[in-house]
Amino acid sequence: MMTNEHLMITYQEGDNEAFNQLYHQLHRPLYSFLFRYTNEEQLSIDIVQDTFEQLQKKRHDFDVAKGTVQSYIFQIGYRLLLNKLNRRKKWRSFFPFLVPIQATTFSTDDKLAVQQAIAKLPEKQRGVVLLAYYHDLQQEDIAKILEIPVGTVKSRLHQALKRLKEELKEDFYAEG
Amino acid sequence: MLKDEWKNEHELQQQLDRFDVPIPEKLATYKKNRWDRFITYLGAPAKDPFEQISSTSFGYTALRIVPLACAVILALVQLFSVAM
Repeated sequence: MMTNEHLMITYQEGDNEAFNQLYHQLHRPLYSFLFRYTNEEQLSIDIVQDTFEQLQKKRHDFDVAKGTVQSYIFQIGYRLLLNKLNRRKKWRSFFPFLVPIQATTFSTDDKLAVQQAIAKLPEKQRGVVLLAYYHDLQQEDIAKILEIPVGTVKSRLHQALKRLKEELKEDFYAEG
Repeated sequence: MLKDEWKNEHELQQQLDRFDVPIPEKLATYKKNRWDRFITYLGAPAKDPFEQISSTSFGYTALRIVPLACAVILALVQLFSVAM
């Protein structure tokens, strides 16, 4: 099986089937990251589609020596997400009644507590936790995706862990 | 290594693992249809601009009576202007 990097190089050489395979392999992790970050299904779907559209346009900007395809795609997705959230905040301040109500999806089962605890984290810490825990990315990759210094990744992760433990402590002991 | 950060946090790991994400079927194939997304945007529920007023019974009544009163006043104005 070809790696994502091989697929990307093949795609850069003009093989469109390689793009479909890249989409097949990477849309799930990207959607999971976006959904865990926002808890909004439609917004996350839109950004996944936009990310792969951008990938088509920027395919020649990818350099395998600078990082993995996954972190390149996550970087595009995260940037699009921030732009969209910022634009939404502006619209909301000008025309509060014109902005559609985004259906925030919270589960009713036992994952609710952790979903809420993650949603409560400051945006700066949320991205680091999600990328480090759920996507098992290296410090350097996370720094590149979030456009922060490598040292900041570890400090934000520490702060986020502390916060999460405090948030989830009661829930855990209530169960046990 | 960032993995070391989680090594001794078994309870936290257990809880974080519960947050699984089902992938919507819509994403199974790459489709870029801006028209569909525009329609979804238009069809999305929007906030009621009169929500604060209509949440009280007085506000709710006023919202029904004010347009009716305006219509009556406008009709009377037109009647008088025709008569004069």
